[in-house]
Amino acid sequence: MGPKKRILVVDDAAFMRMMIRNILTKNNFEVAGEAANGEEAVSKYIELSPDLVTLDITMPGMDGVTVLKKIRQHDPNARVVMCSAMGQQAMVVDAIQNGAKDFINKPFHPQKVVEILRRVLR
Amino acid sequence: MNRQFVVFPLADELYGIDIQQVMRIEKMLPLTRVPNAPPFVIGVCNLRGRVVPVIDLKRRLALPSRPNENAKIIISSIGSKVVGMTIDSTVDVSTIQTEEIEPSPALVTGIDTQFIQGVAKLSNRLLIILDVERILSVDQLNVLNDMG
Amino acid sequence: MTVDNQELSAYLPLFIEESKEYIQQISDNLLRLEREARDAEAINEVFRAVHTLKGMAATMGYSEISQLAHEAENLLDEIRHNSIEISPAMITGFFHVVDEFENQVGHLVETGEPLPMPRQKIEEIRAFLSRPVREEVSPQEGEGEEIEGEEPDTPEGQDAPAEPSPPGAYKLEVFFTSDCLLPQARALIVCNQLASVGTLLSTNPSQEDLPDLAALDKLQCWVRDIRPDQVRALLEGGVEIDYYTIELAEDEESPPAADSPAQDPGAEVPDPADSRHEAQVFRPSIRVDTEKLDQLLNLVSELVINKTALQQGAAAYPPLTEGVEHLHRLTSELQSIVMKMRMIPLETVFNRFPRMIRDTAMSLNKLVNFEIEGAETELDRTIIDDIADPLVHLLRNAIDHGIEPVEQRLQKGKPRTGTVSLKAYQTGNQVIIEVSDDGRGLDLGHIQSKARELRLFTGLEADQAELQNLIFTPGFSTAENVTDLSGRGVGLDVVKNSIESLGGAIEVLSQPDAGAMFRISLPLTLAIIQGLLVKCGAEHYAVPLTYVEETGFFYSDEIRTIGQQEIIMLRGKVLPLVFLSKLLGAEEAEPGELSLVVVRYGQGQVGIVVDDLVAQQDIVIKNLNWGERFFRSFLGCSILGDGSVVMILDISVILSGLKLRGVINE
Repeated sequence: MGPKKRILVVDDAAFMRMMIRNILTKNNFEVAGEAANGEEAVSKYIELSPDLVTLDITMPGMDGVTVLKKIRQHDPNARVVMCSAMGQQAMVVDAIQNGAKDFINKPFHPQKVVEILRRVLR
Repeated sequence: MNRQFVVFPLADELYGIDIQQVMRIEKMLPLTRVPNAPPFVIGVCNLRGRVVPVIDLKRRLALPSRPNENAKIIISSIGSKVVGMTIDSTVDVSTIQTEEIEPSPALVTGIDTQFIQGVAKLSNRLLIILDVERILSVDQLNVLNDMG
Repeated sequence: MTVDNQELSAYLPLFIEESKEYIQQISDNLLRLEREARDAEAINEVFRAVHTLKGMAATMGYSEISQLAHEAENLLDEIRHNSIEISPAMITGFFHVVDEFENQVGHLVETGEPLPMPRQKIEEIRAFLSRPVREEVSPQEGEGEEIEGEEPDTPEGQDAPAEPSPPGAYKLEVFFTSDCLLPQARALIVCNQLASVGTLLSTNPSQEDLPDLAALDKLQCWVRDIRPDQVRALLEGGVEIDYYTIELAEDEESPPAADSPAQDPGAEVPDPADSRHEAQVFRPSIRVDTEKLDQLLNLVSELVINKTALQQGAAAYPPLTEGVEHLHRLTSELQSIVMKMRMIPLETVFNRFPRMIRDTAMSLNKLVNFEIEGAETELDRTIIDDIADPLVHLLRNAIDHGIEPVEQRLQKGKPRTGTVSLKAYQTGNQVIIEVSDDGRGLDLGHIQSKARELRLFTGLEADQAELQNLIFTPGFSTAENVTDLSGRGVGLDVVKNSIESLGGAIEVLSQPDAGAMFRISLPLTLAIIQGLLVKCGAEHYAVPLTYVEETGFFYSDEIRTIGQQEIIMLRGKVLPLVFLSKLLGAEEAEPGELSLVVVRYGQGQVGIVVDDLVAQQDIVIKNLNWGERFFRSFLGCSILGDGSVVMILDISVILSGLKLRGVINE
């Protein structure tokens, strides 16, 4: 098995960040960093060059799709997985059309999250 | 060899159509008029879900014709065409030996000889065998004359 | 081994059908080679198709075809093995062979017999094929080195794949789990993934439509340049993917890429003989005789009619209501499935155009780049059959009259090569086909003077759009010198008539020196249309809703006369009237309240006066197959719920030849 994949977790809710962090660390991922808003997410991405970003789709200020676009401007190969709650279909679709690799739904099912991240990282 | 004919009277003569060209015989069906069609096309009818044009056989043969409540419709099919032809009444099926059929004489009863395939004797009467294909081939030039 | 005579006739239809596919494939790939002479894949495709054709023809005992194929195959083999760059002369030579194939197959279609080919003809073609090679083969080439063309299945510019890449396209169907929350988004991800590995030709539903869909259970994709194992890696056990199927795309159902189809029109046609064994057919599809489809549609139409009758009965007998409602839903579903089965992509028509454009452009000495978009757009088979001729006419016009000669284009500061494009798309219940060019556009001055000459405008000044659309008037051809290709006295009025007889419409938009665009709109299907039932005297008629601009009522005392033309004022505008009873020789209406059906006529409108508007409903069109000339004024007939037959008016025909004196002259 190669080195642990480094993930940047972006969510405005500390609770959600904690949940994802737990899921990730239990499953042999490394959380490279966390960001609580869009601006922070973009600068952390540039700073850390993670293997993957989990990105909350709705955040105050810069929303997920805008963050996605900025990250991909910086790195067209960036692997970004959107985190969304139910009822955000339009935004999810928008994100995918803008290059998000996949999405995970809240509430998170650990197994599903892991499966999706592994697939995206392949 | 034998051939079978659907036999029916029309005006004063006896006419026959090869049974192989007849799908069925119907009593008169409600007709829908087709505007701007020649007079011998008297309309279209609904034959069990299929729309079938109906021609007045007498008019087609240039015989005098008037509306007839008891008319019957011979449904004839040639190739993919299905067309109805009205006749006055009672029909019969008769068998005739092929040898007994003679080519149509130049002059029979005043109907256009192009529609006649041949004639035969049937119990002392003359049976005029109609050429259904000719009668139904209306998309050719002869229509111009009919319509004129 | 050849088949005996009796079996022969049984195989003939299939032989003809498949031969056409292979000929198309050859033609398409020759066009590819014309753009990129070193396209080894294209040469291989041509080789394979010619080879298969040869085998098929030999089996049928058609030595003319197989011999011809053999000659072509020899040259192709030489090209493949000596890595000779295919020259324009060779391509022209191969096109001769294609023409000969087409002649042969055409003759088979008509007579069931191959066309006897004189020895001399074969010699001619042989000479044609061998000449360029001798001129162009340089002896040192092709010795000792492995050539690209050797591995037929290795796509250019890729590392040797683990599994050979198939020559054709695959059709994938991806089914999402029932608990999948956002199948639309999942589907888009699948699209993105496929596009990142291979070429995603098209999808159904389309990627544009996906985001707005309310529900989705499966996604169909047509892909190319991707191996089945790569597809498996992407989809196997995929998130929220229930299961998926891969099969070789049938050529009738494989739409070309929406974004760059003109670059590569033939590549998606698979070579079944070559790749059948490696196809991952998880879900078989079957070929159905089109006649059976027609029968099925007829039966469904019957069902629709009977259902309508039952619905009327249920209104009087409430206990039936629920059952009839259910029947209604089932019938509608059945109807829509049958209609879908009859839909085929426009590709089947568009396919033949690249070659035609090439030949036309060459013979007129013009440089033309041809673009096709939306060939995957589907239309009812009956419409597809009749749309080819009008399109050929418009495309030829575009090259002949639209695209300027090179020197003129350069003078105008345009690119040397003109562009002619053909674009199709669906909007609502209609399919739009646009034929456009970047040529000189319509000559308005010329149209104006011609219009005066033909007295199409008396005193009235027409605006630009009206003027442009005059070109559809019979006898209106502004081509200064009638060329061999377009002119010929057959004008755009014929195009317009054929489009209208399909229930469609055509208009033209043009900008001087920027080009012209002909926009054709067609109904999705001819078999069932929306119609307006009107009463005229004691009779009922149906008017296709596509003609109807509006309906209304008025009193007979509102009728005025201008010159000899009866009109009414509709919202301050003069509306000329025609009385349906007069047009059809029906009983005339009693004076009093009359109904009005306003339809387009030329550049204006005409009000058709009827006694009453009865209903608006789905109408199943039935054709008569007999006496077409008597039924010219009608698109067909239909059976109503009560079993009676109504005639469906062909408005463009019944209004043609109409003189609206003093109001519009046309």
